[in-house]
Amino acid sequence: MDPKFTEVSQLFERFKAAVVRHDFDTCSRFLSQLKVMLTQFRSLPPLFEDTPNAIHELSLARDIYEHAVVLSVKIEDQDAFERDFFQLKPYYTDVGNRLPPSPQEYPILGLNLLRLLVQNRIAEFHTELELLSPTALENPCIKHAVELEQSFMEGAYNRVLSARQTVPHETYVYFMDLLAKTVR
Amino acid sequence: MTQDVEMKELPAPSNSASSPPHSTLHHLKEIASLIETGAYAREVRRIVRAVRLTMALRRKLNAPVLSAFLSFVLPPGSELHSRLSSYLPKSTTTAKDWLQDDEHEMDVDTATSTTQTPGKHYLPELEIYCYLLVLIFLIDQKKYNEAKPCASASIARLKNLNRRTVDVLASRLFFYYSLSYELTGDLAEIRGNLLALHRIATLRHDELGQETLLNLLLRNYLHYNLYDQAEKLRSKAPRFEAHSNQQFCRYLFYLGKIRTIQLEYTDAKESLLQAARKAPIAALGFRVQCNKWAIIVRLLLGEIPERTVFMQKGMEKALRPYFELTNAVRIGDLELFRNVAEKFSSTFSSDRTHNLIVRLRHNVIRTGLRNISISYSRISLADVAKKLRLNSANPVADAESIVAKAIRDGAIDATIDHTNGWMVSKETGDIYSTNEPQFAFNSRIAFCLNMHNEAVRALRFPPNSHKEKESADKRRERQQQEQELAKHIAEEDDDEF
Repeated sequence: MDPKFTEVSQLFERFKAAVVRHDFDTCSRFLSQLKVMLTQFRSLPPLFEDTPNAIHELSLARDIYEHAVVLSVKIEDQDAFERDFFQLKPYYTDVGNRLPPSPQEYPILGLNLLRLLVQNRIAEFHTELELLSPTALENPCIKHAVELEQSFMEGAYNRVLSARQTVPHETYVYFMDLLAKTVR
Repeated sequence: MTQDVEMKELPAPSNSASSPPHSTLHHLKEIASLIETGAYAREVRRIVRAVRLTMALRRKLNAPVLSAFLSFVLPPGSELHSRLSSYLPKSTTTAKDWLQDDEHEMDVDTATSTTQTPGKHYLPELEIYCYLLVLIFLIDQKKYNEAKPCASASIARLKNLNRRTVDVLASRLFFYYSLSYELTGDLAEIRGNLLALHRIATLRHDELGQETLLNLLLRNYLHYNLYDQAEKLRSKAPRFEAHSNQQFCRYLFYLGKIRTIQLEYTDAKESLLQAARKAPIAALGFRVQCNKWAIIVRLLLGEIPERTVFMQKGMEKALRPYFELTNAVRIGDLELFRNVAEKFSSTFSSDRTHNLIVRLRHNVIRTGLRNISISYSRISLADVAKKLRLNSANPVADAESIVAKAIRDGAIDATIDHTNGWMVSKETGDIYSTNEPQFAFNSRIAFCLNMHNEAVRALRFPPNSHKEKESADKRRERQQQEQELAKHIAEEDDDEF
């Protein structure tokens, strides 16, 4: 195995351990190191070179960015969320057919929809929505965001408020709180 | 001219069965000579005309005619000739006869054509034209897998050519290149290539090429619902006066689609309606698509399209689902709306309008609420929920917040009595005692004045009427030219779509 690859995965393990400990300062430090190291892999976007262990590198990078997105929600940093999400997106759209689907994909997409809703960027919300397949729309995480938008437009705010109790994923709570604040 | 000689020669050996292909070949040769003269004289107009004539011949193309034409234009044995003929299906025995039959007359032709083009050197225009012909033929025969390499080869050749006279042919080639990939379903593959071509066209100031390629790129993006990228490209790409009506229509249509997704309904409606209006009568499919989108956008804007929109000739059937949808929105019945959306869900998802229809739900509720507020001066929220048929666990609370939002947005004029759970509509009162009629009157006058100004601006005055009178001779000549031009434009509108 490539020494660089093992180095990155080791650091990633330590990063994950820090996440479990809720030690967010260490996490952010590790994360910036990880991101710098990822730039050395030639198989990642934007180069997409076909190296022998491209698949491993791609899935590792995707994993890292997924964690980065979740972390940004935990430290309640919306800008970091947006940045990390856009870095993550090519892994879903452009190389999605080469990698096994990630279990985190739909929750994170739903989270992004929710973020757009919270920031009142409805046009972008709908643009993102068009990209999703019908199967994706059936997913509870995404459905949740879509239904929220509908009740929002209709003005059924009580439904928005009650939706906080039925969040499909624990990370959604932060955005739901923000949304509830806007509603009030 | 050489053509006249051929005409006399032809009828003698051919029997009645083979005469139509003969005439097709004859037409093709005529077109080739047109391109040749156009290329030498650097007259783009002639080449435009050649392309138009080709479209008229499109139905009559077949393999023997094409191979005969190829051997006529290209030196037999050259690399290009062998490559292009390899795309054509091997002809049957009758076709071989045909070729032999053609052989002896070819002698005459090559003799004459060599005098025209010294040194057996063939023009790049003709080369590209041959590619175009073969490509059109392959696509018409549904041989998409053969069409793909042919198109790619032609594009590779085009990249090395920089001649203004090729531009017209090139833009058609781009179109068929993209079409062949779309029909086999790998549109994403050529996106990078198209972008590169667009860059080249921009560098060469090939405006027609830019226009065509921009549309192809937009189509490419929208095919995969990449509205974000499409909008970014569109806003960054250089815009200029449209060269081709067809391309402009397509551009407007794509623009309308993007705007609809991004919730800019007013602009979207404008471009979609304009696209539908500008499209030639023959392009029925395109106009149906435009109308479908325009209807939805108008519904989203809260307008109800007139019945005549749905009754246009040849569109009644295609627009039927949208007609029922409009009906549901007009009545404001959520139940009916849901039924219609379910009944035609397959149509809507194949039209890719499903998400837009979901957005309409909100408008249905609004209309329903407005009807209620007009008919009742006081109604309990429970009844509102029942009338709107809100299917939820807590209809009264839902109705309360919906009504509250509608009041806030100004959709209805009412108040909520929270303690009793009533919605009290305000008396409409005498509208003529307010400023309302004045405003209405003012806006109408403004509209009329605007129209008058536009009309004055659009008036055309005869050229040079204030200067000395031109001679009768000159005038006749000019009129003739104008008529010809008008005919060309009319013809151009009809084909291509």
